[in-house]
Amino acid sequence: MRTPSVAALLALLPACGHDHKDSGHDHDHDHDHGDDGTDGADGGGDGGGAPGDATLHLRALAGGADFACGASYPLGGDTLTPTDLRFFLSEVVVWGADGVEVPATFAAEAPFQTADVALVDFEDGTGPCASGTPETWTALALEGAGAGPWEGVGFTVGVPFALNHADAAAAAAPLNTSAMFWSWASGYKFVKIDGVSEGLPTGLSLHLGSTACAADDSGAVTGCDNPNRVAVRLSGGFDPATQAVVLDLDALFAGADLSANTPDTAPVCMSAPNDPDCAPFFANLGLPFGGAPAGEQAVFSVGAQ
Amino acid sequence: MRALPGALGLLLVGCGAAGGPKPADGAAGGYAWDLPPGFPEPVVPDDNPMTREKVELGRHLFYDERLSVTGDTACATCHEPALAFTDGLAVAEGATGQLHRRGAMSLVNVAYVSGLTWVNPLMRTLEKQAMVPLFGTEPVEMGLEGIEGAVLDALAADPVYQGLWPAAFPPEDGGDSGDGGGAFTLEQLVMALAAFERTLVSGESPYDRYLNLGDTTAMSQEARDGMALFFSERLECYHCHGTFLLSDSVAVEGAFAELYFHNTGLYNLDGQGAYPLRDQGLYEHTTLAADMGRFRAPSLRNIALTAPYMHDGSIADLDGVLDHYAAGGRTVAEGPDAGVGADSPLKSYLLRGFELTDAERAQMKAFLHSLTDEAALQDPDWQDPW
Repeated sequence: MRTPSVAALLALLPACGHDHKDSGHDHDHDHDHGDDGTDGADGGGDGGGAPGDATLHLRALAGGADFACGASYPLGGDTLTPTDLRFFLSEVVVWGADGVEVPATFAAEAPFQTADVALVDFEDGTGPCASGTPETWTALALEGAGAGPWEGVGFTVGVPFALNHADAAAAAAPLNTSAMFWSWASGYKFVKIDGVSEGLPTGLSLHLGSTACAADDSGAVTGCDNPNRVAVRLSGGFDPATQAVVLDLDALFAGADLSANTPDTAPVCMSAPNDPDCAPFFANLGLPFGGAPAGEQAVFSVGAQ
Repeated sequence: MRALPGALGLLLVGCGAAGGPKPADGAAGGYAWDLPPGFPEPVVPDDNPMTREKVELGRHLFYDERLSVTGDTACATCHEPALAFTDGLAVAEGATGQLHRRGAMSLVNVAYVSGLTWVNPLMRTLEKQAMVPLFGTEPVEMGLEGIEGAVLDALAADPVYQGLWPAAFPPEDGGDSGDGGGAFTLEQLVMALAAFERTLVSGESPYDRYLNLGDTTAMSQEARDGMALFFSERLECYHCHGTFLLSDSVAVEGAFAELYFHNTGLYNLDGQGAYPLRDQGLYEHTTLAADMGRFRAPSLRNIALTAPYMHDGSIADLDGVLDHYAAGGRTVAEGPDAGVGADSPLKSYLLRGFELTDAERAQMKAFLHSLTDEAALQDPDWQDPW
């Protein structure tokens, strides 16, 4: 089956002579493995890349139960029936006992992931999620990280800046997923959670993305005051063969009020800096908002597969 | 069949219809602007050069209701040529009935607009802007989120597009995106829409004929007196509504783009200049307190046709607009938006207020009406081809 001990050793080897902590954003992506490995990557066993590479499994839990289209969950002081749950994930790193972060890329598997970004997709297009897609994507084949286990795993929720503001109309998958377009902000929704509650039966959203961006005369975005990317670091041991990164919806919606919306604002939160309904989500994600400083994210943790 | 769009374009060039620029018979694949006197060449993105074929494809797409989730809403639904490509509504209504928080803007001379929409410093090209009505969800305008593939398939099955599309994006030129046999891509759709919009150049209003074409009778004395008022330091209109576009935010080929945003004292909810939370202008993009309530000054060309006015359509007619500026800001007497705009600490320093006699008011309105280019709005090249 797996050879974690060897892979763990391999994962540590790249650390020799390189400080990957400082090169995490511009390391070479050596992912030209010829065939794109679309065969059974989400089976959890072999991954889509070179032999021995790991697959990063994700789960979304609410009230201890796995997210499912058609289910309803007590969240945010109301009952949420989700209609969508997708988010972009990028900049995966793993580290061993020495704490040196080793960057990983995704195995190229159209249409959900390229080397640099993956679209995590929990909705399956059924029931209230009918506007979505039948395919889901919750197991991300990695390259360059070995097979684990690791002391820890990290990633960014969001699309890297270099990709986020490119021409969406001409983008390749997964950045051609129009549900994630955020055209008014010249970028992408990093997180798209939609649903209905009893208090807001016509719909509500949590859309996270970069705001307060500036552009040059050609419209090229030069930077964003509020990048709103969530950098996650999960320590304490992670075995990709048995464990998963867990998105805890209870933690994400803690303190939020899904029963009502502040008048004259987007229904719940679309990251507008002047929408008070966004404050609890940003706090839970560890993002600064409205004068509140950045903190620790409380939404992602390590759990069983 | 494939030669038809080009041939049609040639015929229209020859017919001498009044109004906007006609694509002249340039070199193969080329495009020659035929611009009104005094009008510089618009900025065209390097990666989307103008061609007659692309413009013709874009015109069909602009008027195509299939570009919506309901199949009944085209770009032209909110941008009607007879109303200078607006819709006559205070705020636009999307395909699903959801109301926009802002009014549909005129597209006439939009090729020269440096920053599109009422306020968005990121929105510098029509290609980029088109994505908002196509895919936006707050509000839903055309509602193509997640269904653009099916819509493109439907267009690809239409014999009209089977002629127009490859003519505009020849597969041998790389127009085919790679899956063989003339792919119809979203990128091409957006490029064609933008190319058509860039042709909506109007510069033969009575004001233009008087100013640039030597037609001394084009404007009445009353309108000319209004013009003098408009360009006076007493009224200060022209500081924000200057240039050939009658807007200070212009982009022309060979010059730096100018893009400005102004607070005109339309609201002052708290005495500190606050605008209603539903729309706080540039502040939403910068989070800078000073940017509260700042919007782009739109071109005043064809302004008599584009009521109601202001970003949220909250002023019904030109008299109301003159009242607003004469007062140096609007007073909302009661309700959640109540406040004295004239007292806003955030309003532009040019909102000083003025008094108009009845005669001067009539002169101002006559001037504003002289900015209407009736002939251009009836240009056959701008109309629904279906």
